[in-house]
Amino acid sequence: VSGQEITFEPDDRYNAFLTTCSKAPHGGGKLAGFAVAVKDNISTKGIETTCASKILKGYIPPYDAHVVELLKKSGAAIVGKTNMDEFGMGTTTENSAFGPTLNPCDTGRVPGGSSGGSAAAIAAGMVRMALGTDTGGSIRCPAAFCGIVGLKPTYGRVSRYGLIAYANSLEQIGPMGRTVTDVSMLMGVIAGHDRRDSTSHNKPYTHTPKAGIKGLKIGIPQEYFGAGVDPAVATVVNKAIGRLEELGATTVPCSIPSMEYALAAYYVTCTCEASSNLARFDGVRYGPAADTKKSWHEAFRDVRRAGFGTEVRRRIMLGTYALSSGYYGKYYAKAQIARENVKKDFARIFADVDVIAGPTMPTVAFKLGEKSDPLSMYLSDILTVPVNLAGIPAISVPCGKAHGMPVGLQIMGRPGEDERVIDVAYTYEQAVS
Amino acid sequence: MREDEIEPSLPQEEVLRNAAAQEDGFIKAPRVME
Repeated sequence: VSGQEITFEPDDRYNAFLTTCSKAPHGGGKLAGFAVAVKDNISTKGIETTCASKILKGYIPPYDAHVVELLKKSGAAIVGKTNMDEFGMGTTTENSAFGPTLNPCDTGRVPGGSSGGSAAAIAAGMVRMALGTDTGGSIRCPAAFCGIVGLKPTYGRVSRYGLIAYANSLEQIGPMGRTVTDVSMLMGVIAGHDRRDSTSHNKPYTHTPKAGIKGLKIGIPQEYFGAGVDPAVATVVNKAIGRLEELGATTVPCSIPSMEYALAAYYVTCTCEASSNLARFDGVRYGPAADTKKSWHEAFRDVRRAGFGTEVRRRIMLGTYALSSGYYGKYYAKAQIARENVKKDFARIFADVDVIAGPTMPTVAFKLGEKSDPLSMYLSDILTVPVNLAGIPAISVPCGKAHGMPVGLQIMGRPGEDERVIDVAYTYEQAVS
Repeated sequence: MREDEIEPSLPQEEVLRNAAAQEDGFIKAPRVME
């Protein structure tokens, strides 16, 4: 079945999309005719891809990302590119050069970020499923804030070929949807080996979600219910964990002491990688023109000063500083030690339990403009970044409301056990719906 | 070592399509040397 198309003309009152395709072609397959949205940092041949940055305004990729090739093969209709924090740098989608996305549950609040456009498009019913990317929580946070499901796959299960890189060692493309079944179905399409990504595993995903968690052992880390976590959020999540116990799971208290340094290790690592990755935006091969009459130094500086937003420039400067001669050992090397400790903590806990559960985010969605200083924004990533540092899979599934806003239950699994976190989330979802 | 294998790559016009400044089929860049 080729040569079909769907019409897509949504009322995008939430600014979820940066680009929409009013006629979206599709073929036959598992996702035949499903409207799927793609985050704007994933390359789509012939469709403008900006990373929500002025520095890529007008950029039309000449090729598809691996995941987009797979989507097309599955029959999905790519209906548009979703809004995000510029280059994925943010927790609210307010750092977009093209205006913030609003949370469909309360338009005075942010949808979370950085995949806020994808989450809002699903929550508002504009698309059935969407792709996001998760470097430090960017799929799980907006899933929690908008009341949908989002999976950060095990590092390496989904190819990053064609993803415009921000922090390669941390980020993964992942599925977002209204239900665990949809997320699982989309994961089945995008996972698998791709030799164009040297970190790609040969581990396709062929799973169908199964309910049933009798005898499952769940670790409950004390740090996920400690200082900084809104007690109203903790109460909702504790109730959800109680539900998992009623369904046959047992819970075990545990501790991730390395979390004390996880956030610092994360921000050093991601800014260092960003400073290197974003050096390519020089106004020469793509993006707004550099003035070729000027010297390289001046032209490069002018294009980047005009094209990058405040948060992107902040992270490039922090990363460049941390990698500079004489400081490398003090920051980057130390961050890698802290990262290793996070991995070891997870490995130790997973020797005893099957999954770890806690809140996805320490609070519900912030009000627009509420997080005005960058540090307090960074602190809100504390419960999501350990997963990226360790490369393990984690899902956020809606588990109720606090202050009238959705709360996400986060289930983290052993490396490669994406199927298990899907099953736990599915069991919970089926029991409460 | 194995033999080199030629794989598909982008045609020149597609590579140039996103470049703001071009000359004679090349991408034009600011001066690197003073």
